[in-house]
Amino acid sequence: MKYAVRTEDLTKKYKGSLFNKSEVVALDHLNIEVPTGCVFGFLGPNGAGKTTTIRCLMDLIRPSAGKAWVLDTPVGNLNIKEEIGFLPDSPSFGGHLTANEFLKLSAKLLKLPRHEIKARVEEVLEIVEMKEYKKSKLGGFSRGMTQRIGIAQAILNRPRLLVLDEPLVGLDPHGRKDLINIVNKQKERGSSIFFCSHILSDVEKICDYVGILKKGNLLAFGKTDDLTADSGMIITVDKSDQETAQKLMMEATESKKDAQGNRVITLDHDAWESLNGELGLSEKDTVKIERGHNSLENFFFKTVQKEV
Amino acid sequence: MDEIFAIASSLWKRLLGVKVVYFLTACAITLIAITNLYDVLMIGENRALMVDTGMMLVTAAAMLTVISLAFDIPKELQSGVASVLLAKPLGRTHYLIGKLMGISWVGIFITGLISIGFLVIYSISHGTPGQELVKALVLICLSVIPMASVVLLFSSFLNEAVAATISTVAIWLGYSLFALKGFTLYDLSVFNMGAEAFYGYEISTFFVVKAAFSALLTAVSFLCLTSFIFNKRDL
Repeated sequence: MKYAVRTEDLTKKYKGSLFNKSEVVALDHLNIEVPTGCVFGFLGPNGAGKTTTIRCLMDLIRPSAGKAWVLDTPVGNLNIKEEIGFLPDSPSFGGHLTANEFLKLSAKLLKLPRHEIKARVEEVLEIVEMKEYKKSKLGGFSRGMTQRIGIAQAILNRPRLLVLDEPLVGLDPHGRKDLINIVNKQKERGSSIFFCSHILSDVEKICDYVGILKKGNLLAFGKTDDLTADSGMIITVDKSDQETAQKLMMEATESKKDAQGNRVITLDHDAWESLNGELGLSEKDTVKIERGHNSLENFFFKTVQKEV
Repeated sequence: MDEIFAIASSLWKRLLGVKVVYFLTACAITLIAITNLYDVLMIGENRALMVDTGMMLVTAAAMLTVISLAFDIPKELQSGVASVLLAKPLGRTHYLIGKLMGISWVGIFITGLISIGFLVIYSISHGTPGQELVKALVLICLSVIPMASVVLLFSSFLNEAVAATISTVAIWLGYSLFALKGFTLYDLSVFNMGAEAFYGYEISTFFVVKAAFSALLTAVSFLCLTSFIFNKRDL
């Protein structure tokens, strides 16, 4: 199997200062395998180690231990960087250049053929809807505009792997929608996308795979559909049927009252099978049964609440 | 090579896009011209004052230009510009070479501009300048290269203020402490031929070539050390 990103016991420890010798473990033996051609969402609370992972993958910081590969090539290989697009967290591109000049500089660094540069720069400016600002200096751009230029430079080389660190930050709803379209188009082209974001609803929409990181430890990793799969049955018991409600609550994974005072009980599949057989829940008029669905947001909060 | 030139030309564009550079250049040339007004005070030795002032100002311009690199690299590292650039197929050593090349172009351009202004004023006031004066000015322009490599070293791992201060001290040491005039590594005194230029002592073309070679050798040595440090650090 080919992998867009693979890490093996990737560890990064930051040394303390001269006066504070304590070490901070930003990444602790991280093992992930992201197959090529998929959109991977990397989630975690602030300080989880997401940006550290991305910076290790982009060879901007050196891991303390472990190894990492991008597009099945060890990190640090300059040739493979020609096939990667990268948008850092809070990008800054030097205010003295115009958008056009910056993208031309990026194109040169990405080793695009000279005759192609002008047309490609125009093309990406069109994609990110910044063509009218191409002669404006980057220093005068708003956060959202800078983000759009960041996305433009990341897709200049039609990358096989697109690494985006918090790409939705600073974008208005229109910009977010555009970005999601760009990501989907890149995916259709066959690119792999390594995506790090706090906006879980967007991640759920576009990511095939998800990884959740906390304090440098990977808490969950897998296909988004698997992680947000059916979470059991949700049974709403009328407030008049306290007896049934009491019995179900003994086996419930979650129980709460709704606005009308009815009891809403979540049962896992095994509990549902046995209690349905015993109490004949499907036949009762006082009981309403629904299939449960775990949103990525629910899954995320449940996962990060676990202690590392 | 393209990527190195891209980094160098970006720095060139940034520094030469700052209008105050031209204002200071014009000030330096004006200051050189003003020395002509001091013929009474200097008891007819205003030519000496002009040469001294001219050489001093060209050297100061060279030094100030290269010191600006001490602000450029740490700022790029802190703001994340360097991360964007180095995430592309650009080696860290290539980035450093680009910066060294860029600041050297800017330094040589600015010192060259002041030198030309100086020579024009000199020829108007005191007749055609001697070859020695021209060679001495060429040497100062060349001094930009080793000085830039020293600044590059400190700015690759220190913050702006510390890098600028230590670089200034290191350049001063290069001019004074190692003033052996023996072309030892990092001997900046070989680029300071003001007295020779004024009194008309011969500065051979071979000496200038040797100084140019020394400048390059110093720059390459410092670049290797900088590259070693820069490749080890986190960005």
